[in-house]
Amino acid sequence: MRRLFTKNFDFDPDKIVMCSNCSTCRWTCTSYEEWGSEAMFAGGRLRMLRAYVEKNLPIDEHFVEAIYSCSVCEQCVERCPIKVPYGEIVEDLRKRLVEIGKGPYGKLGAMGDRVFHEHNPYGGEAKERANWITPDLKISDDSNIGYFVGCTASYRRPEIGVATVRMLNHFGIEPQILGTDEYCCCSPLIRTGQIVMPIFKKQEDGSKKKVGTLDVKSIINHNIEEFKSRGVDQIIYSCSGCFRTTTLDWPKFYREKGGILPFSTQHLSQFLAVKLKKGEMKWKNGYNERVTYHDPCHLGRHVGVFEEPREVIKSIPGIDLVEMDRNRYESKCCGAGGGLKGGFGENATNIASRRIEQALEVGATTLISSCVFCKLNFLDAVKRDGHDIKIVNIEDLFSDLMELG
Amino acid sequence: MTEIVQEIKDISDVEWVSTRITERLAASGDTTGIPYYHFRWKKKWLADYVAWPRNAEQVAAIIKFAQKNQIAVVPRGGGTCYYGSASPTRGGVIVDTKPLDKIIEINKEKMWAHIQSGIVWEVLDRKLAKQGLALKVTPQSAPASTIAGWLAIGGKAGIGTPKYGTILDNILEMEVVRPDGTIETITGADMETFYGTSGIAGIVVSLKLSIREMPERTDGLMFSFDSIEHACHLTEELASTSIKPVYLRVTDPEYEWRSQGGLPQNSRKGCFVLVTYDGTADQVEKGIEYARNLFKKAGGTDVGKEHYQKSWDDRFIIEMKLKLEVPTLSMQNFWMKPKNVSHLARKMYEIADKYKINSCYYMVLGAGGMVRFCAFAPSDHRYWMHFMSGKAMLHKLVKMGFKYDAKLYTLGLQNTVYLKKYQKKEYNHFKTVRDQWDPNGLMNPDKLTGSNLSYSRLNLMFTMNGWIRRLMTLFRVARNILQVPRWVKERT
Ligand SMILES: Cc1cc2nc3c(=O)[nH]c(=O)nc-3n(C[C@H](O)[C@H](O)[C@H](O)COP(=O)(O)OP(=O)(O)OC[C@H]3O[C@@H](n4cnc5c(N)ncnc54)[C@H](O)[C@@H]3O)c2cc1C
Ligand code: SF4
Ligand code: SF4
Repeated sequence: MRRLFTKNFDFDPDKIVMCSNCSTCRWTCTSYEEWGSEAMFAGGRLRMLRAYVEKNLPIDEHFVEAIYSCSVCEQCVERCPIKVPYGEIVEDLRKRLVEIGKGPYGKLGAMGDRVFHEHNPYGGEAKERANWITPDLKISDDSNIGYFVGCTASYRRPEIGVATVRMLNHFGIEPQILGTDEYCCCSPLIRTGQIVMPIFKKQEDGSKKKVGTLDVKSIINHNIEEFKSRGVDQIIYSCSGCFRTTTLDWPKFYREKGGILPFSTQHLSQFLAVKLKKGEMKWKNGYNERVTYHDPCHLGRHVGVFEEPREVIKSIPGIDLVEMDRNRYESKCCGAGGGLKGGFGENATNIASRRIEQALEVGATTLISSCVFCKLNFLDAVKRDGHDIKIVNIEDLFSDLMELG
Repeated sequence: MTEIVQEIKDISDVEWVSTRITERLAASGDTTGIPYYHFRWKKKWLADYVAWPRNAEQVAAIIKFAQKNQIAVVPRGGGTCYYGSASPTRGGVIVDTKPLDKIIEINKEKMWAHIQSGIVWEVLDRKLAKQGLALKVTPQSAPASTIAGWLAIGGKAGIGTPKYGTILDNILEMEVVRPDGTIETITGADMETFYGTSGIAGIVVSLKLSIREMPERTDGLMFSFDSIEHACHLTEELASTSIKPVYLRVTDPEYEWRSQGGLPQNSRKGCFVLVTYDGTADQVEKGIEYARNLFKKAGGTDVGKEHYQKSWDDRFIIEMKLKLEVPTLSMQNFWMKPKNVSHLARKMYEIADKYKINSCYYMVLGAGGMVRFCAFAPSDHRYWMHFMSGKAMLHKLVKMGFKYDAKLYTLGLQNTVYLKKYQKKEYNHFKTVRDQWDPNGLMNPDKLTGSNLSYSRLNLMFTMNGWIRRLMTLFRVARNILQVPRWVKERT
């Protein structure tokens, strides 16, 4: 295709002109709902981007902000009559911004720094990654089943890691865990465009010295090789973000066998649904509450897992599962993904708060999710805004009702 | 009634107004985006400010500020209208009405909803559905467009229009801000100045919209026919019976083929007619039976329930589906009698064949037995000759259309150029409205009352383009960008 676009910001024009500007993706957009500006939804951003490249406008801080104020939830893709792959486009754009030194937005770059040094975006020490493991947990070094814990459970919400391993132990599985050899799945880096990035260190005289290069590919390949060398051929996930990234993104970075991973991936809600189907799961206790289920974008829209978590929840004796106004493919985003929580913390909490209001509207007393990151964000909203609702993940519920705690 | 308005002294102090380039860029375009060729003739295509008022007083304040400083005001709803209707040509302030999205009251006894004007149709529909209520009319752009946006373009063809009339027929009262900043509530004939006038008479802030109970059943059928003439005749018949359809759409085979990714087996290659009824189960049954008999008598073939359902479900996105295949979708839409459509459609095929370009159409039954006929020229603006030839074809259709009493459906910026020449009556009406309410010409300038394009230049450009394209076709150097199946080539 002939490129009529200018060089200031060279971005594949074929991707931009796909959009018809019909704005069907506007009112459901996570960031549009929060900011209320047309620069903050897929169609509006593409319109803006088109003007930037066609008019050769200098990339300014507002442009960078607009591109980063998106949770990559892909509700827009779901709504789009043409299926413009906005998720891919925005990640590509962010990659370009990082390449030309204009991205990532705000303090998001610190995530890249921390993953480079400590293998996690929170900045916890790498050697402390497995500190969440309690003595009662049975972990093996020869099982073919692995558990990818992820950074959030390892450093921020250890109860999730504990509940997941207890759940697996309950079914007689003693999973392999990479421990301190587990590196970030790279979801936050891929979503924010930090694929290859120079890492600098501030010197005493204030100058910056390059100390290395962050390379997502090598981190991902490290994780794959670790699992492979330990003979793991099935990995279970409690974090929807890690699950999505391994399933959909890792193959693009895996250098062997044309990107076919040497293991299968399974979210714990899928794992439980299989157990249920096989009749291997009997609840010890019931849960006499009205609950609603929040579909994490990474698990639902991105990978297509909608029914398994619901089947598991519905099987709990006494539970009353109601649906929120927007569910499954239409589900509202919690606001944490795509770097939104790291870059725009308060806004991410506002978004979570609005989702909780939808749960309250249908009379739910418990909001169940199956993503570590969603849970973290919902809890922040409950803390800030005092919503009267319990926030739990499926594995928490499992651990409680099966008296594994 | 005039209300006291807090004056804006320094616009940079107003927290609901933005001067950021990103926000001005995103709010300055519409479905045409801002392709580079628009930059040239839209002149000052970029707004200076974007304002997000939340009530009538704020709308009034921004309008007064604009008047005082002699800057243009461009009202904006969903930005889904074509032809640059909600895009600036002289900079100024975009008044984005989408934050005016509250439901003020729903009256189930009198069956109206009192709403702010910037609410998106789909959002309102979902909220009404929760109470067992439904909208009577909506445009097919309901997922993105606003109530007042459709009013301002003169909405009369969409879902519900054959049965319930135009958008104006369904508005009981409205609150408006006049171009001098006066806030008024108006009813009856006074409301006509806001119907199809692109905001030149002021900004609609809230309105009472007639609603109904959720219908017991909604269902229909879809048939294919041998020729476009069938569709014209059947549309007329179905529009004039006592059981009115809630939606009737005719697509030509290429449109159907491209938008649905294939045609149902054994379908005829003239056109497709989809018709939907709603109401009580009995009414719907009667409607369907009537249509089925009519379709059978005309020699049509039922495409089956599944294809009907798919096509009905697609009603909100059908207009955009051609974009699946091309990056640039030029379109012209006419308001005309169904019986005249075949002339225009056949002419379109003829020109497209001569120019070696793609073309297809679809039409929707509107109020009063008239249709909105949309002719498309799918293209890629980076293949300049192909793209311009599509535009030239649409230009020719406009010139021809007036012979068949076809009026332009959407006017906006691009079509204003045709008004003075071909739609004198409408042009004079708009002039009167402008002179009476907006003597300074600041409300949505260059729309409806004065074009920033010269008709003669436009005509010359497209005529020359047509000749060159014809020569290119004769010398076999003109190439189409979308492959067409054999039955499409044989359609004329
Ligand atoms: C996919 C698709 C399907 C469509 N289907 C139909 C259809 O079935 N029928 C149909 O008629 N059209 C249709 N259209 C065209 C368009 O969507 C409609 O005309 C729509 O109603 C415009 O509404 P909007 O809110 O997007 O207005 P905008 O595009 O924002 O504005 C339209 C005009 O109204 C003015 N305006 C906006 N708000 C106000 C206000 N509060 N007060 C005064 N003036 C105002 C603007 O200045 C502009 O001139 C379709 C378009 C698309 C993209
Ligand atoms: S990915 Fe989500 S937040 Fe981003 S533009 Fe699409 S809908 Fe909006
Ligand atoms: S729905 Fe798709 S085509 Fe429409 S504005 Fe959004 S991205 Fe563009």
